[in-house]
Order: sequence, then C-alpha cells, then structure tokens
Amino acid sequence: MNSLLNAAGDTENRKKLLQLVTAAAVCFMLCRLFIMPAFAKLERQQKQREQLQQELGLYQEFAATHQDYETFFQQQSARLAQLQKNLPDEAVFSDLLPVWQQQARNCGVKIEEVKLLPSDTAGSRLNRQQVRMAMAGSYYNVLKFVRQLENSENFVNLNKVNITGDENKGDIKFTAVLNIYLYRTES
Amino acid sequence: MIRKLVKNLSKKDNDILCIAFSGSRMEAAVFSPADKAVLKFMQKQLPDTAAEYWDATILQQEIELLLVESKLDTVGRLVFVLDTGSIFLQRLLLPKMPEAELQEAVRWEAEEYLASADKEGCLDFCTFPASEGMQPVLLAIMPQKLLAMLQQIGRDLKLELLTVTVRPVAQAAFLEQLQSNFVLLEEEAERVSLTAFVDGMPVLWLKTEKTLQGIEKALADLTEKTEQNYRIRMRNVFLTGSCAAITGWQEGVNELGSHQYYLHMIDFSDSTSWQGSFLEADERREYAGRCMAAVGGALLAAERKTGINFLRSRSATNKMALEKIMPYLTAGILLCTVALWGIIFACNEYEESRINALQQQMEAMGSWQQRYATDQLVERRIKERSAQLAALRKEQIHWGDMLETFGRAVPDGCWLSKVQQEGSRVLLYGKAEDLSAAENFISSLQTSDKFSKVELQETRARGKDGIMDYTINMRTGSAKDE
Repeated sequence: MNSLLNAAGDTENRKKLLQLVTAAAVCFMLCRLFIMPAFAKLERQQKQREQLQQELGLYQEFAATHQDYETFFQQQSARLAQLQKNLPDEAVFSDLLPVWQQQARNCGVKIEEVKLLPSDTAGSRLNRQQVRMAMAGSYYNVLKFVRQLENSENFVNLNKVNITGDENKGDIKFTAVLNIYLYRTES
Repeated sequence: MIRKLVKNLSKKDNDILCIAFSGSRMEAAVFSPADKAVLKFMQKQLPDTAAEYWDATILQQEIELLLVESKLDTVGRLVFVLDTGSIFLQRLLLPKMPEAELQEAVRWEAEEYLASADKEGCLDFCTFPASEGMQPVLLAIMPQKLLAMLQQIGRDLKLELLTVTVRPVAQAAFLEQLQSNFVLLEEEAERVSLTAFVDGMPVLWLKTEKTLQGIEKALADLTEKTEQNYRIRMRNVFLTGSCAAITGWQEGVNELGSHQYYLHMIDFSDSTSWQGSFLEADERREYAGRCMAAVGGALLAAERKTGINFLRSRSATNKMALEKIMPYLTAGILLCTVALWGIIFACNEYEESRINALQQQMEAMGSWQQRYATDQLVERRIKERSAQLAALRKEQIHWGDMLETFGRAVPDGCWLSKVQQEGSRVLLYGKAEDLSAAENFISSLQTSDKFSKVELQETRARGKDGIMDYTINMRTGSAKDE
C-alpha cells in the first residue's frame, strides 16, 4: 500500500485507493450486519423445510399404506389389548384368586395354600407380584392345572417349584411361587 | 518566517511558476491566473551536467535561488515545460474510434516505441478534430524517472505541480494556435530554427543559418514537405521580432519565393498581458518571444487547455492497468456485495414460500397427522410390552412341559419322589431298582433337549430290597444354550 502511494504520488490515485478501501469497509459492514444473519436464517429455513418435507412424506406414505385405517387401528388396538392382558398395568389379587380356584376345581386339584408375598420391581418397566401357592392332586390333574396357569391371559412365571409325591396315594404336592408381572406405564 | 506566515494568512499563493527548458537554458516565468498577466520572466544558463543528465539537486537549488532572489512569495504552483530533446513526440493518424479503444491503440503504439527504447516511460496524448474518418493524435513519451524527479522537486519546494508538458505544445498555447497549421521561426544562438505545426502539433523541424536566403530556403523546403506529407499548404508564419537577419519582412502578407505567407510577430495577445514597466512594442515582442514557452505552459495549466500533461499519464507498464482496475474493483466489490445480499434475500423469500406451502399441505393432512401420531404411540407401547414379554418368556421355565417330560422319561424300575427348583437348577430325588434304571432315566432326560446339563449327583443304597435312592442334578435350558 505504501509503495503504491509513494509510487503514485498524486491525489487522484490516493482518492481512488481511498474509495476502494471505503468500499471494502462498507461491504464488510454489510456482510456482518445483513448478509451473514440472512445466510444463517437461510440455513435455518432449509433445515425447517427439510424437516417438514420429511414429516409430510411420512404422513403421505402412512395414508397411502393404510387406506383402510379403521381396520388397521382395530387390529393394533386388539394387539395392544392382548399385550395389556399379558402384562397388565395392575392386578387385583382378590380378582385372580377366584379364577384360580375355579380352574383348580375344574382340574380336580385342591389349592391348599395361597399367600400374597411382597411385590418388588423386575427391571425398569415391570413390577413383580409374587404369590405362593401350594396345591395337591394327581400328577395328571396337577399337570393340567399348571398348564392352565402358564397359558392364562395374565403372564405367570412359576418359580421355586417344589414337588413331592405321596407314595401311598400316588398324588403329588406342588408348591411354587407365582410371579405376576405388572407393566409400569410412563408417568 | 513572518513572510511565510503572512503568505499563509493572505493565501496569495495562486501564482504559477513555469520553468521551461531549452537545451541548457532555463527560462522561468511567473504568471498570475487571476490577472492573466506575466509578472516576471527570468533566464538562466544551467551547468552542462545538469541539463544533460538532469541533476535533480542542481535543478532544485537553481529554482530555490530563483524564488528567493526574485522574492516570489506569491508563487504556490509549478509547471515544467520540457525540451523536445528529452521527449519523444509523434503525430499519429488513427481511425476515429471510441475513447477507450483510442487509449488502447495509443498505448500499443507507445509500447512499440518503448520496446525499441528499452526503458520505462510515461505517456500522454491529445487528440485533434477528426476529418474524413481519421483522427490526428499527438503522442508524447518521457522517461518515468525524469517525471518522478520533477514531482519530487515540486514536493521538496512545497509547490503544487500542475503540469509537465512539452515546449512546442506550450508555444502553440501561447500563440493561441493549438489546432492550427503554422510555422514557428525562432532565433537561437547561432542558427534559426523553423518548426512546422499541423493541427497544432509539431511535425517537422529544420535549422538553418542566420541569413535571409537560408531562412527563405528553409521556409520553402518546410512548406513543400508539409504539402507533400500532409497535403497542407502553410500560410501562417510566427516569428520573433528580434531576428536581425529577417529584414524586409513586414507583418502581414508577404511574397517569399513562390509562396505567399502571412507573417505574425510574436507578441502578447489581448488575453495575456505583460505586467511590468512600460515597454516599447519591440521590447515587448522580444520578451514575448523569449517567454513564449514558459508562459504557454502556465496558460495550459491555468486555463486547463487540452494538451500534453504527463501528470495525468501512466507508465506504459502495469501501473496503467492497476490504476485503471481500481475504479472497476471498487464498483465490482460494491456490486457483488449488493448482488449477494439480493440473492440471499431472494432465497430467504423463496424458502419462506416453500415452508408456507408445506405447512398448508400439513394442515390439509391434519387428520392423518393425528392418526400417524396415535399409531406411533400405539406401536411404541406394543413394542415395549412385546419386548418385556419376550424377555420374560425367554427366562420362563415351562413346568407343564417339565412335568410331562418327567412323566415320559421315567423308565420302569425308577420313580420320582421329589423335585426341587432353585433358579435354573433342578434337583430330582427318586428311587431306582438299580443303577442302570437311574442311568436310563438320566439318558432319557438328556435326549429330551429341555435340560442343558443332567448328571447323577448321588446314589444311596437303601436296604435289603436293593432299591437305591438317587439324586439327579439338572440345569434348565437346552444343551445348545450352553
């Protein structure tokens, strides 16, 4: 710059150089104050547009693939209902006990003891309700009753099983802890 | 110092000091643009070295001496008029063209001459009225170093350098013949110099002895050459009145040889006067002849007449390009910035419109948006419960299947008395008639693929009947799970 001024040595050249520097400074200020914020806004707008396009695409695809939405919704609801029965949000022991007793009677098994144990958690989303049950009956009747328990709508897990046989009568005594799992919904 | 202060206060520093060079002679004239008058005129012989080699120190000293001795306190501006010995002058005849093309054409011509001279020069040119589609151009080139030196002298003397021009152009300005055809006759020390001007440009030079016959012959030769080369018949002759050899020539029409000429005595015109003591006409004309170049240079600067001025020139190298580029660069930077701003603004508006359109489409699909959200929620719940259930089922021991397996696996001669579970470990207690029966039982349990590990843990002989008690240790889960 200095050599340019020195070499030029006249006011015309200095004026032109000053104009150039002033123009550069003005452009810099314009960039900082207007162009860069506008560019940042443009980037935000592009991201927003892409997001909207993506969402709209999802809705359109969903609409295209589920033209019979009512049927689909019913199927989904039925699936959820089934799962909610398998892993209910709450289980009332007093409601379950008569069901078991009826099942036991139907199978020819005698429920000798039913005791509600303290509940605890089983994982991040499950509470576990434990019930100790002791039953007696013939091998085949106990087998039948155990299968009914395992295949019931409420998911039941038998643990700490103890089976003893009565040599004289041929009956068995089946003692186990029934684990009933309750699903903890989001608060 | 007081004088300088008074000078600064009074601000009477508009007078022009014009320094004209003719060989080793330096002519200085002080011209007042306000009065359009020559205030002073001086001549000085420079040392030969200064004139020949352009010694800046000596020149500056001489000018300073001049300013001090003559008490030129009102001088604030400076003009230099250079001799044709230091300058390259060339008349060009170019087709009439736009200004920008003309500049390029002249620069191209100049570069050809510079290439042969092999030095860096400054150029300037002036144009004259075109005729028959052709435009006369006077091209002048001077050494860049010389111009820089003169500019430095101006800065050191604290005088504003207005013009650096050439002697013939200054003379034509004084004579008010800047676009005319004429012959200028000047008396020198030992000879007479004749210069032919075509359209105000010097085109031919001749020098002759100081005799009437010599001068007449030289004039005739000049006239014929001008007619031959430029198809112009010279009629006007300007001459200084001091030439003793020219006797019998009267001001006005004269018949010289076979040609007719109109003779003009060089004098101060009505527009320019001599400011000084009263002079006889002859003495005034003599002064006019002597200070013609210096005063002509001052007139060019003061009245901003078109002519040669190297101060507005550029060297015939890249400097010209750089100074030309700067305004375009300035405009370009501004335009690009504004254009960029405009483009980004337009893009903003466009994106905004697209977003609005998408939002309208989304609103139109409001019900499906809700359905999708519901489906996502239900799907998530299904997934979570399914995952939990699958995990529980994986760990589950199916006691229904286990009991059935025990029933099928127990062979004859072997029976179970107790089953006890502790986590994944299951203990079977029973009785067998012999060890082979127990082993058969174990083998059956292993092949059932419901237990990963089945092993006989203990046997106890019971009594006289040979029945033995056994204990079998098992792990739930198939063998491949191990």
